[in-house]
Amino acid sequence: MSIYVNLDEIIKKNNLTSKELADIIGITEANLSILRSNKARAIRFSTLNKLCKVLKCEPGDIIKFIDDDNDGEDNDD
Amino acid sequence: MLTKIFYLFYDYKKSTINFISLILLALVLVILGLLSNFSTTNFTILLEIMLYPFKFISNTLKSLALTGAVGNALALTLFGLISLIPVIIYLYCCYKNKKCIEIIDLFFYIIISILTGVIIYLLINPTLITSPLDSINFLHEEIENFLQNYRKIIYLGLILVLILVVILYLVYRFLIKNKEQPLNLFKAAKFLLVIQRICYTFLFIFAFYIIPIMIKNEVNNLSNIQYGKGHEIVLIIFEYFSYYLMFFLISRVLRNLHDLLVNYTNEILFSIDNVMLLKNCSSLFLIYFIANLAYQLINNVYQLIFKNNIQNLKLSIDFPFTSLTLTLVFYLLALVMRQSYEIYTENSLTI
Repeated sequence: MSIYVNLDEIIKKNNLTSKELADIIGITEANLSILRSNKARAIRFSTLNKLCKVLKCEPGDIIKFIDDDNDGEDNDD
Repeated sequence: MLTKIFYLFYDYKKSTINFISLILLALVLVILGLLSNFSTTNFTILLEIMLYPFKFISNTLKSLALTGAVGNALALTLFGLISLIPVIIYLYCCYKNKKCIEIIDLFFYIIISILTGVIIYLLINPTLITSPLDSINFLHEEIENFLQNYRKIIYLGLILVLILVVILYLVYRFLIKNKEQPLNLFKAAKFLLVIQRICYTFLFIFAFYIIPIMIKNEVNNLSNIQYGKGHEIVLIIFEYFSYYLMFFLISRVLRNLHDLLVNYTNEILFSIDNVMLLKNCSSLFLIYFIANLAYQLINNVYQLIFKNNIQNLKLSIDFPFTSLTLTLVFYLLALVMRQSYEIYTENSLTI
């Protein structure tokens, strides 16, 4: 995957814990962990909306595109 | 080997004692099969097995009735009580639940009671079933033989009716029960698991009870053959090897289905394990299909090569359409399950 979720830094900047963020945006800690560890296959607009609202940032700050050399091979699971 | 397959299926408590008891049960069935005087088709053998307990009860009652007046009265009472067992069960359920079940349930229980009573009564007094040709005296011996078969057909017919009524009642109860609570896959899996266990039990009985009967019949037939006994033995070996292979494959399919249903009852629907189980079933049916065709080919070619030395040519031409259809159905199900699994994974990883 070339799309990376960069949540850890933004969470730190906002002085929040994973549990607090999960509670505020209404998802489980397990799902937030999937998101943070780049295991997620997709993200809903509603979740992205809530994240941007709570973390006071743009979608581009959370999701980053990095062009890997190993393109085409899925690193999921 | 077969016992081990069955043992792995009946793995409610895996222990050596259970394995030994299963082997002993298989041995008892084999001995009973060798001692029994059953013959002809497999379907009637199953009905005849069902007739066993009725025969046992009627013989006991008959011998009790012949002991004297007290014995006769006791036999009559026992006969009434045994026939009324379904109705007694119904009344007990009414008493236990403090309310009567529906009238249709009572109707079914009465029908089952009547059928049980009639079967036992006819077995006690077989002379009640008389032939319509009884008045012709010069055909007495032929009529007597005919009458025996005639009675047997009536007994087996009644047993079949009894089984059908019980199945009808169970289906009715199943539908009524699920009208109150909507049926879902996980609940249905529990019912299917019961049906599947019954199938396995039948397969067990078939493997260890009916096969010895069939072998016994083959030996009897072999003794009546004038020439070509060696070839006949080879053909019998082919036939029974194919039976063994079919049993093995069917029991493996049932084992896979069992695991699948267990997963469903545990509410594990979308998993790669289920996909593999369905694929295995498909492969097993494909092997079954190929094995069946191969057996027929070998059997027919062998008979045609040695046609001058074989007394009774038994060429078989049968396209195993069912196994081919089941192969495709299971393969399709595996593909659907695979796709569902991917969608499920995608969905569960969408935050």
